[in-house]
Amino acid sequence: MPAILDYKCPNCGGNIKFDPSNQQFKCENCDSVFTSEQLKSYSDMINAAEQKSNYEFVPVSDGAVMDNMNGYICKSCGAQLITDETSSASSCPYCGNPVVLADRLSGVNRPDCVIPFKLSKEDAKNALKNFYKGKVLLPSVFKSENRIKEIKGVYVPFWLFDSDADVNITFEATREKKWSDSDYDYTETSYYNVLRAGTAGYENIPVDGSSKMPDEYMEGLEPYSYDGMTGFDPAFLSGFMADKYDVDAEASFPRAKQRIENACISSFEKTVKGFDTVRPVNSCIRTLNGKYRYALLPVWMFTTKFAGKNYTFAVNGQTGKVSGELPIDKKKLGLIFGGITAGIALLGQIFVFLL
Amino acid sequence: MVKKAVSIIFVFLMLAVLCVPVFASVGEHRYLFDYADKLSDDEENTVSQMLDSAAEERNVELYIVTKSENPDFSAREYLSQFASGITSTASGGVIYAVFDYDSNTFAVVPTGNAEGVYDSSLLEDMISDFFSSGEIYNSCMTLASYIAADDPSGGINSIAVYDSKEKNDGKNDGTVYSQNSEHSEKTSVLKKELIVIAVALIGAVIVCLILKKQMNTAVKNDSASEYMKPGSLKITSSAEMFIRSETDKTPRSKQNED
Repeated sequence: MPAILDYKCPNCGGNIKFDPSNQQFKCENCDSVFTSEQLKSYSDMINAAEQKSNYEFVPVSDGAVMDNMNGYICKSCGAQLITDETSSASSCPYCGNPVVLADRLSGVNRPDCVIPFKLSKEDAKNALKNFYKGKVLLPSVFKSENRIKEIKGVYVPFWLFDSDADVNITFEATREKKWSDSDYDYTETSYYNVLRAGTAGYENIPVDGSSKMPDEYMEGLEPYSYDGMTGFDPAFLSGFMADKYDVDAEASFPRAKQRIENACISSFEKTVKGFDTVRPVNSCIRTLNGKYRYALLPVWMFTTKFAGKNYTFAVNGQTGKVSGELPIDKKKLGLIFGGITAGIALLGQIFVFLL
Repeated sequence: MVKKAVSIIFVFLMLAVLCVPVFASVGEHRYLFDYADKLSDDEENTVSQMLDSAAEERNVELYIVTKSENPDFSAREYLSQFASGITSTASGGVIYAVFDYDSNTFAVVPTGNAEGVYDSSLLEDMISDFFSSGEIYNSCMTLASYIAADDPSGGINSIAVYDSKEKNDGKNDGTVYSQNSEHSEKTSVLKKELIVIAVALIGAVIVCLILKKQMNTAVKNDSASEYMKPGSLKITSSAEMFIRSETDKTPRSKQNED
């Protein structure tokens, strides 16, 4: 496979990008639409004719490769692209030609599956605007004054873990009984040890494999619908950015394991019924039959600027869920706090005097 | 400018809310009429508080009047005239006590629903010694504390008998002795206001925390419950073992019985 993949329109030779709105590949120049199979067969035909082309991977300067940076020549305009070692899809900053770095997507780096983008850039912008709605503490001028500095459609590398869990948990539970006589009120609390053992199975627990993406932003985008997941095809990356993982499966698994443990404790706790209080005191949870897959999941990344500060938002490229932190208007917060205090106090006074 | 005006209005609103109980207390009902000027200011305050307590706790209004410049009216005649000017809705009834310093007599008369509960001659017996020895403060406090106590039908042995220490610059520092000590707890106006303000603050904090939480959706998801395979949860063994039992008992207050 050649080091760089760029997909050209069979009709006019224009740039081809993946169109999330109709889930097909569209030429930016002549608006022709192609399926993945059509593009692949055309691409194979072109590549066969170019078998003798020069290897595109070139040193950046004096034959040396900069630390963590690599250089590529754009096949469309001849410009030199500099990317970091984790980028696997990008676009030429001069001609906009989308490029997929095939050598970053082969062998052990080849993803097992991908969820293609379903939301277009405009859909993602609308999702972000909807996110602002109903936020009482948002500064009034944020919607009008914040400026989107950057929008990137990124395929983020994730590890999807499947695992069974063998569970042994001990809970402390209590039952209360109350009664009274003429002189005293009695409360009898009975303490029990409740043991639960069993198994549970989990699949497709996502843990992001990129140290560049903040974990809370990526987990805030969950859940993805895995019905939309398909086998990997580099063509889906055309027109978007993509990173390869720099946190491997072994380093990511502890996070998945922690989530499995928390889920087991809460699921098994729900099976303890007939008590007034239940709390876990001891647990032994073993993960078994573990499997993982390397997947690319779609995320729209927005960077906005407001009042001299940058704000980052992530939008799930499949479902439109937004993950991010909005600024808080402290004066509004103070007014709301005081208003609610005054209102409840006034109602309380009226209640006291009526009594 | 608009925000400043709103902030100032808001502060005044808060102050107004907090001052309502003060205004209310200023306008509170008066039960003590010391026309003969036999009580000092402190004594009047103490007696008034006890009379307020009786009205609040027992729903019985006790009016105490001292007179000294109406020799044409006896204590009972003055009492009738005084009572005709009073409109009361107290469910426990009204008791009038008149100390007549023109004739050196006094009268205590329960009316309305209080008539069946309180015995006029018993009440008069309670304070006759105090009145004879000129201890008007003790007389008032004995009557007021008796009415405010729990069990008005218990007879002399169960009343709060008031005895003051010697006067010092017109101030009396009294101690109440009770032979059957079942005193109901008195919640002061200040305590009720503090509870209202505390509830208001807690409510405001909860609402503000909820609104603040909406502003940040970039949070870690610590559970994998939504990734559980359907039907995969299986319990292979379960057991419940009784460990121990603890019993707490708290004494019941008389108020609970009411």
